[in-house]
Amino acid sequence: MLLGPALAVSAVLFAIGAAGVLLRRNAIVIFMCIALMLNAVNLTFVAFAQQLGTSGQIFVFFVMAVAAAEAAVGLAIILAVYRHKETVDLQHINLLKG
Amino acid sequence: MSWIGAHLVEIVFWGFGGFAVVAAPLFDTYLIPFEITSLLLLAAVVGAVVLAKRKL
Repeated sequence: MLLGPALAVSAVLFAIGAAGVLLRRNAIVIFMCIALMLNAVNLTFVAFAQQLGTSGQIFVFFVMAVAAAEAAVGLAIILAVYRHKETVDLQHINLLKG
Repeated sequence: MSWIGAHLVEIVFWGFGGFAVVAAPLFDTYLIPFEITSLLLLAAVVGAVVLAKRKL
């Protein structure tokens, strides 16, 4: 029930997230696109959990926890980089380049 | 009316994604990963505070 449409929405969300990570330059927008991809995968888990058992739903909680940890550390890193470089434009952030 | 309420309670508890259906394996089969997740979140909070401190 509703497996096909759920997978279609999930694929669209993941494609939007991947395109945003590859095309945008703003670090905050890229961060939001990473969260979008994670939530697309969560939607896939829940859609398949309808047929394959509850384990997929349990795993969604762990994915959410890891996403929360990633968001906290990532935002802190962006904050530190902004204090150092006065910008969040990834075009101008090349601290690791030699 | 009360029959509808009982039916809704049964769906919320035992339906797809209900409380009992999701919480029982989470605190039973997956208890160890659940506890490890708490350690992960603690480490993430400490790391975020250290990284975002004004004076490193």
